[in-house]
Amino acid sequence: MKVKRIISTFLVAFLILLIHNTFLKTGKAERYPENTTPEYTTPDLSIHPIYSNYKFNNTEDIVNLGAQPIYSPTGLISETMKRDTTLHNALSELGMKVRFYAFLKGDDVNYFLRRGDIDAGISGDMPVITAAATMDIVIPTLIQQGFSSVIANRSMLIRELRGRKIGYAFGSNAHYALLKALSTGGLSEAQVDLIPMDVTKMPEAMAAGEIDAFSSWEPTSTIALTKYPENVVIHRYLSSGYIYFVKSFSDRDPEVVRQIVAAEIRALRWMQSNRQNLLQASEWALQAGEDLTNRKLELSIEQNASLGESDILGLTSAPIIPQNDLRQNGPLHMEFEFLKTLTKIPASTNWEKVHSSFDLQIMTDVLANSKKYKLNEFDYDIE
Amino acid sequence: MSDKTSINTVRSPDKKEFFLSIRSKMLIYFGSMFILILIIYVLSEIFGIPFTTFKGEYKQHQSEVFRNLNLFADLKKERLLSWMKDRRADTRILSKSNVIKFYVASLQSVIHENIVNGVQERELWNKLRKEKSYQALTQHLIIDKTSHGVYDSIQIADASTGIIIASTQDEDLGIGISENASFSNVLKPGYEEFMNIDEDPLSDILKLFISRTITHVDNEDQTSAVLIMNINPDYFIKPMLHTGGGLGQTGEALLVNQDMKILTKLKYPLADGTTAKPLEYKISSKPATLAALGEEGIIATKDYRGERVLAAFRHIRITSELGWGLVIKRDRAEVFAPLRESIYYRIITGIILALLTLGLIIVIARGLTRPIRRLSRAAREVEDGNLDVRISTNTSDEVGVLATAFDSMIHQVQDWNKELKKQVHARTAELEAKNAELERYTYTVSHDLKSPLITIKGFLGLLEKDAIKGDTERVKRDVSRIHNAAEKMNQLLNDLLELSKVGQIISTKEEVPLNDLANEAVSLVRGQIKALGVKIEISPDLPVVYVDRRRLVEVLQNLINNAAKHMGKQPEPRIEIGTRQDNGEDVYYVRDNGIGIESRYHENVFGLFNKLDHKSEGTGIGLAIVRRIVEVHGGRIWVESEGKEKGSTFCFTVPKKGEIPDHDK
Repeated sequence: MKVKRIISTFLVAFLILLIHNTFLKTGKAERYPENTTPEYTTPDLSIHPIYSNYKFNNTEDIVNLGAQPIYSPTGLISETMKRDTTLHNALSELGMKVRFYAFLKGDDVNYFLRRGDIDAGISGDMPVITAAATMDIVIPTLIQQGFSSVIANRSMLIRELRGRKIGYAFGSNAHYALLKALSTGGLSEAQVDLIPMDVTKMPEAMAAGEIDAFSSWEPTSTIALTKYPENVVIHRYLSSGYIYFVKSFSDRDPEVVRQIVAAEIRALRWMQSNRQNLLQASEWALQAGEDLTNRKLELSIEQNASLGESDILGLTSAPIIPQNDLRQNGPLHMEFEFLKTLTKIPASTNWEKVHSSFDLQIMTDVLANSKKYKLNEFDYDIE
Repeated sequence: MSDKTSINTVRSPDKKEFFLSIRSKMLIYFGSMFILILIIYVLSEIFGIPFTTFKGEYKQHQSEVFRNLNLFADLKKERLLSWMKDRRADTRILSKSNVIKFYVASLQSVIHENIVNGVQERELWNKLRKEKSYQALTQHLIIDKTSHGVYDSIQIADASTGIIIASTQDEDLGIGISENASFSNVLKPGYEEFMNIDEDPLSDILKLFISRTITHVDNEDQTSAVLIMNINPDYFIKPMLHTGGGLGQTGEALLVNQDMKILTKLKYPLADGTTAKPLEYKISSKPATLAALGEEGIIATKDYRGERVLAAFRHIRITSELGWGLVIKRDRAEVFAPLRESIYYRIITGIILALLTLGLIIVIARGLTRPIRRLSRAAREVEDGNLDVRISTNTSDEVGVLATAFDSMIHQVQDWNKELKKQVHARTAELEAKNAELERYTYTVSHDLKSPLITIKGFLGLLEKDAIKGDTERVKRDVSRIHNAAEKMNQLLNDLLELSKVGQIISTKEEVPLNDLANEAVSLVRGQIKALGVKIEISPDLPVVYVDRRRLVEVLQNLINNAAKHMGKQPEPRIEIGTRQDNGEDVYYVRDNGIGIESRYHENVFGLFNKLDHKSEGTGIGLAIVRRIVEVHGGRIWVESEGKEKGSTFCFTVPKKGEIPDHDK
């Protein structure tokens, strides 16, 4: 009888483990309920420890541009643009000034764009599509084309993320990359445990065992892989970033928009023309990132420069928005539809509204007038 | 026969009994436990242990394969990107060369002059071939092509007309390519470079085109010509995608464009058996689709053949406009073939181990349960009445102790059985004798009691007649006869009463000298003895006996009385009371020299109302009383006589104090 009891206990325990492992290990959705009201914006950021210190000057002679230093390679470009004497002179001739404000992620940029504190922003495709769907904006130029990565603490298939804790930044490119990754593994958001967190803190959180995986953009992905060699990229999704303007501002000051686009082209060409320039821009971007987060980014100047090369600089010298990306059922359209199914944007929004926000003519105008916009004249405030 | 069948049944247990046996239970419990443990061990080794970091061979092998596929995919991607980067650099260097720009400008000037002068097209190209600038430019391009060793051809087309004005292949001169994507797309505003894999309209073969604008020598903003470098992908991309033996027999690398159309030939035919053509076949497998749309990762899915594969997929972003999907895959069947083989051998080993273990369990169980089975069989045989069975085990464990105890117990039971049988036999004989005696008693009582009644009845009839006649004498005689008959009946009833009382020892036994008892008995019959002139001798060495004094006196009195009555015509009647030793037992006797008893009557004489001499006095109940008293004392009585006129010796025994009575032996 004793033997029977031992065998029975053993069998029952084994079956419980099996059933639990096979069927019951589903994700907890309480942190991120599926059926909530659409979340187009982040919570109140006016009390954010960083942003609450910003003093936005909203006078008409100032262009406020929200940039993301810790969003490679946009950080390199925006920091180079910030030091572009040609831009400042050109704007000065138009009676304008430009001010750059650093943000942590695109959703934060949208928040202040929506509030009217800034006139333009630099963000990834997900916040840009969200902005285009919920606001009136103009998107004239591409600024990044690289991968957002889902990184895990060991090699695994996406479907093995079921029930695991995953760090993510709400409303970011990496958030979308994560959702795409989950869909390839046949999982939904409800089947994993999503933990919202600051992207720069994700590698440490995973090393501390607080999360099993996270979704991030560059340079956080590279930092995580460099600092913790056991980390593995289990999925990557090609995302893109754009410079975008509030439509009312673009309509009012189209030339200012063109000068800023020209500054971006100049910055690209300047970095492409000389590796030393690229390293200089990389150093500026790292410094800006450290100033923003008040902590040292564990990324070398070389690494940051290489990210810049692979994510835009090596791809093009003219950041034209690929028309292929804008086609019906193209990547941006699919992302738009995907965001609607996730209620990240209103279901009633028409793709045409988003599509029409992309203005390719501005870039064409600028490229066609390289002398006017001084695309090959480089004058940067190196000091 | 029935016993044998019964034993055979015990030795051939049916199925139910087999499954209820300890051996089968041991086999089932330990066997199933071993098999369960073996299965769990093998499963956990293959599939890992839940909630632990031990992932098992399956996942480890899968991870290893994915790592390998990732490595291959990353290497291939890097190699492709690097190769493409070099090709783009080649194009950039050549297009930015002022020498090229100068010769292009010079050629365009010559062409313009000739067209203005109305020179025919064929003549124009012939004239152009003789131009030093053309020859220098063509030479420059050929050197460039040869030094790189990659390009099929390098062409320069006029930006305004789309006509090739210089080429490494002389026959290309003058051909219009304005409709070609490699020409038209690079001239779009903002573009200075374009790449695509397309069918070469000049040769009808698939080629990679890298085109770049050549600006005017004096004006960077003005495009004067388009440089087109084309490469046969079969010679360069296909070798780069070669997987060799590193991915096994089924390893395959395939490249698709953004429209999911394959760019190189597939390794296998499609599911319908047809061969897919590059740039025509749109692949729908998941990894290729994901890779083409900009995703990277690993996946376990089905490929274009419908085969299950493990795949790593990469997106190769070459320009902001151009991206390819790269898939490195391997058939799942091949990947897990070693593991399946390992599992197969494990199953075989497991089965052999299980069989060996089961065999071992059977051997151990047989060894351990052999004494128990023998015990069980013995118990069954005992149950069937065979008390001669013994287990005789020589083990000293618990089972051995049990077997020894069983043997001892059976031995004891056997002894008890023998004794019981003996007693039953004795009791049965006794009961039978008693039954016979009872029957005789009933018959005798009814017969002997009837006899005086008939007498009384007969004389009552005579009495009536004699009374009517008034014959007083006869009446007196009839009355006397009736009286005598009644008296006899009374005596019979008294004797029967006495016999019935004999069974109840009314006083307790005591040790008394037999001499005293003999003397007392003789004194009680002294008158009769004297009248008959019988001489009585009492042995002086009679022992002390342990008896009911009064009853034993009665025995001796009856025996003496009986002897005295049957002296016949003996002139010197003599009675001897004595003792002798028979086999160590004291036998007491009353011997006479009377008429003797034939051997056939030796038993009958003790019967109720049995009288050998019907003329003798008495009711014939005396010896029956004697035997009853002796038996009640636990002794025996018998008669010894050599026959008629040879006298008789009535012998009896009574147990001594502490001796077991005869009827209990």
